[in-house]
Amino acid sequence: MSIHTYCDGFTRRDFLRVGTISGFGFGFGLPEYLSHAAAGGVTPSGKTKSAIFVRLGGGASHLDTFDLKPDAPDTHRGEFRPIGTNVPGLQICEHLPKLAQCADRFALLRGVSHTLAAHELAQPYMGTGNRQLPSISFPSYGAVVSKEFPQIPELPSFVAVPRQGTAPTGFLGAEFGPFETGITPKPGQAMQIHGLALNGVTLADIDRRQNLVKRFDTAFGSFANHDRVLSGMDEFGQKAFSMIRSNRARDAFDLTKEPASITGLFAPDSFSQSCLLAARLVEAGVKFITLNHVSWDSHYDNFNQLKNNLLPPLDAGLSALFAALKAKGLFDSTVVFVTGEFGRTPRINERAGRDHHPRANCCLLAGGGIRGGQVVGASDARGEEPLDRVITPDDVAATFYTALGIDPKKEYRTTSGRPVMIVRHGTPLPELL
Amino acid sequence: MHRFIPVVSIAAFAFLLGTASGAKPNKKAQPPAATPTPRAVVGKKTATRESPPLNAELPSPWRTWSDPAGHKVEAEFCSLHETIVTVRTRQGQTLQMLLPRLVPADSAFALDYAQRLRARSFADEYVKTAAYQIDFLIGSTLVAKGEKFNAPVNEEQFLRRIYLDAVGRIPTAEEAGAYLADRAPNKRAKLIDRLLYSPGYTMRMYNWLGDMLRVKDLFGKGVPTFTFQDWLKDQLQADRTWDALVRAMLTAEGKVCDNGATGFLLYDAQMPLDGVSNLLTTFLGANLACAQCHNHPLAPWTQRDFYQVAAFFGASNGIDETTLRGGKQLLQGKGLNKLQLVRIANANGYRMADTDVQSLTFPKDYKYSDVKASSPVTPTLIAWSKADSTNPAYRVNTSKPAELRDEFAKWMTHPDNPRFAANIANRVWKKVFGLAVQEPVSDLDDPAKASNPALLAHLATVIKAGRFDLREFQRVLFNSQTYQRAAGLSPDLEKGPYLFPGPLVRRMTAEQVWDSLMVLSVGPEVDHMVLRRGDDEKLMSLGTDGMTAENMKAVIDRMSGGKQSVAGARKGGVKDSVLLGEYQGGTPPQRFGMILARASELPQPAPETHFLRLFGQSDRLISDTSTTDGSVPQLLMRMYGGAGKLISDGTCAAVTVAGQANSAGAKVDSLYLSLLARKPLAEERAESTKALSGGLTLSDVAWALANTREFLFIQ
Repeated sequence: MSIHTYCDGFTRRDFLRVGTISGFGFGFGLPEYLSHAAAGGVTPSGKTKSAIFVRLGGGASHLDTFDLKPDAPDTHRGEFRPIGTNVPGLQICEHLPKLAQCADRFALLRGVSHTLAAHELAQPYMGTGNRQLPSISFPSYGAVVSKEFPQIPELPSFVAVPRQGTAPTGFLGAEFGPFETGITPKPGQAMQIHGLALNGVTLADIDRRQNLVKRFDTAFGSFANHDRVLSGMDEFGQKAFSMIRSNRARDAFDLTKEPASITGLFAPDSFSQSCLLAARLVEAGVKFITLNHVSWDSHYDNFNQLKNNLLPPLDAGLSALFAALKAKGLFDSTVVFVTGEFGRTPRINERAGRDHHPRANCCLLAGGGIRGGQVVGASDARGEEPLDRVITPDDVAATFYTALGIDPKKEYRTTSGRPVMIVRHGTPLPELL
Repeated sequence: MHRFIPVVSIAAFAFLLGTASGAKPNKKAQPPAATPTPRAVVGKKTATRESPPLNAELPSPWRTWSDPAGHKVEAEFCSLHETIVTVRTRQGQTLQMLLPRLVPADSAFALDYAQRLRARSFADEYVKTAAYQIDFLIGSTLVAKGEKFNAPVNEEQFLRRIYLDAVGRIPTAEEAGAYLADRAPNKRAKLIDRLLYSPGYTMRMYNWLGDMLRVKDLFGKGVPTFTFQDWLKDQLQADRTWDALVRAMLTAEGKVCDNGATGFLLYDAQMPLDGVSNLLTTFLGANLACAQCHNHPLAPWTQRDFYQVAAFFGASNGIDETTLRGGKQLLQGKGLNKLQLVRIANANGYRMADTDVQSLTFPKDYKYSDVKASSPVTPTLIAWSKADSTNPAYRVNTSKPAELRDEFAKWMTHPDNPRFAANIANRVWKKVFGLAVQEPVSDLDDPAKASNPALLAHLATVIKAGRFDLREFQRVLFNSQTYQRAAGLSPDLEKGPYLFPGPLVRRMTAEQVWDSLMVLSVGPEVDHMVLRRGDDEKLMSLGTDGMTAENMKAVIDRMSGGKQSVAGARKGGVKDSVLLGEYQGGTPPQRFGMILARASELPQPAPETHFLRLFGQSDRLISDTSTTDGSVPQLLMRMYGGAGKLISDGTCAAVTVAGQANSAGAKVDSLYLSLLARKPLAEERAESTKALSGGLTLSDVAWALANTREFLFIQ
């Protein structure tokens, strides 16, 4: 499915105009914001999809998760053994048993390859689908989604748990940035989110104060209606107020409101609870959620770290997420994308760790119409290079956007007026769509 | 209730400030015998051809300073702001002392020297003429288009605008009240002068440059740039002119821990070609970024042009492989703290040095026929017109590779360089008026595209007449009638250029909003809360010693042995306070996990989730990328997040001041002055007092005012 190229109803000329003006540093792209806000009423009908981006920050070892090499030499193979899954012929790591039981729900991409072995370069590449240029800062997936999809009343359209990490909005600007929770959810608790939690302030207090603001904020008079910047600020102010005033956003972050049939699927660790929150937020209407699952940078003691701390929550969290989305009827309209910024060196280092290895990473895609139960691409016998077909981060990004109904070739203008496509070089992988 | 926070950087010099019972300045002190020769700048053509060193007419600023108790310090005079004397020692340390606490001869010297520096600035008459010329050039284009100037701005709007533009924050109730009550006919000019020469100016300019020069605490693989930051602040504080500042950055040699000025070039040490395209854009508005990889599709630049100009940096190198390798080897050994080792190796492994060989060649995949792929490049300056060949700026000597960088810097910062003056004039104009005369500021290749080419030419002339003194240049802009007019709506530039019937209504920059919250919550003392982190970084220098375990251990001992903390160490126990150094004049207050100091004194850039970043502070990866866009999380932060709490939590200084007034009406007046720099209208006062008697508190009223658009915007 694909939304027509200019889904916001802009003609090419309008688009240029907005782009150019934003270039001078005071553009809100307000017409877009307004048209989105106005269209907000039609959103929850399910016309647009949602996405959950799970960022395995630090770079998860492909060889010890989804691309095991049991026949590689001792110097490379690692301690973990592969296990079979509910998809014949597909094997993954023995420490991911729950995912093995639902492998039909996701697709694995192997041999995803690039050349940037530093976190600060690779993260924005994997998080935007574009290799960084010195002159352009590209927008994250979430920023593009919140630009492309209609705004939702009383809710942020892009949420990061607990933070987005690198490259939040790039040249698109703060308007499309994430709402960051700052904290991860705890089982059975409502989250106290900075700026949203009331902490003893009553709704009556809020109304009285807001009433005062309304009376005070008259300096610009009718003037404000003719100025993009001023009326834009009013829009954001009203939305922020409506978020605080209504309970919709607070409820969305309140895990105690989730039925036991759903909460029971999730383990108590913070990643699993973040997955539960993500499912709840999608149901509430949030369009994009980043789950930032960090500490995968296992230069030391790779196997114990993975076995004890990292793989069990990943296994429990993701498998429960798929089950919860299924139970809520949201699985087919929610694209889940799981990736680190690179894989790790096949050769085990002297500290029983693995270092950065961008040449043959592994990604997981699920839901939202992605055809699960298959592996696309492959790495060589030691997991060092792609076997024959090279899948780039650009291709994965183009697939992700296409699954969401966003044309990856759509053109934006940067702040300096330069035309740039959402994904500059990628081609969607036909097997997945 | 004005109070200075003692500002001095090391305990040994604390005597210079001491307690309130100090000696008074000697009013009878005579200035030294030498007669000051004020720079006579009265006409357009004056003093632009030859640029003698600016200090030529001044006596030596060096002096041994003492206080009545007999303590001494040798240092050069930098500036006098109100009663704060700033000096710099031979070691490059900046100290601040209170004028009344110096021995009479020293305070007299400081007063005299400050006066001489002032005398070097524009004569008031020149400011008037140059400002009038601006008004004339704008007025005539407006008339030609059948348009008019906006109405003159009222005193209250002028007051708030000039504080935000000149010192980066709103005025306090006391400052606002004093100005509004002033009956002097020239009170605007007086206020402009006072603000331009106050400490807030440095902070404001530093934030502005931070976005333009990409000031970032760590670059590359974790090289700290605190010395660069201190250096930049010192240059601003001491009135280093723009050409001298840029020249110093482009010709700097050595390690950043020894010489802060190298920080600018070292930022791009790993990508020197990107560095060149970046500096051409920043300092000349020359749009060669695309030509780095291919002939520009629209602009006249070719890839050959780019490589030829980049060759001026082809004999320079920012990375010292030997030192970095040495560091890596030590990492294999035992006994040294790995984190410290990596940090020190990086701090010493990046340094600007020049060789006798220009080694840049055309790329091996060069696809045009004008030169051969991989062939050596001859350093050649870029030119915008044929006339440039006779331009004196172009007289450079390319025969000595080791001096190519110096020759390039000479050409770039020469008053006759075709773009250098216009570029900085255009950028400062944008800072002041909200939109540049020619947009975007990164592309001045075709000056005919300026909204008012004659105005841009005039501004370049003025900035040259002032020998690139940015303070004096802004003095002219602020004194123009155009600046002192009501602000206009943001224009639709597709329909035609903005002709500047007045400045634009602007949302405050992230730093302006934050700094305004700081003055509300802490008071005007926040302008004197100065952070220096470079002194610790200097301890990391290995000097000329090699990267051996022994030398490394000596550095680590030096760093941990002294009472100063290791640069980058956490201090103060606040989670967001990574990379905090030592504040002069005590520890800044902290509330809700935020350090209450001005943006220029916080980590550069602020951490990602900090108020400043939410409001659009740039990540300092790409030049000129700060934004004033709005967003919902921003508003949430302002309403019931940390920023809202700062105003409403009961410790806010502005609310405390208002609470001391003796009637409900006077309390409301004080809050309006604090937050909006104006008195309330009768109905606003009535509304507010009604709210106060109806159960709302002063904090609620302050909160509501802080959440208006009037607060957030510069009118």
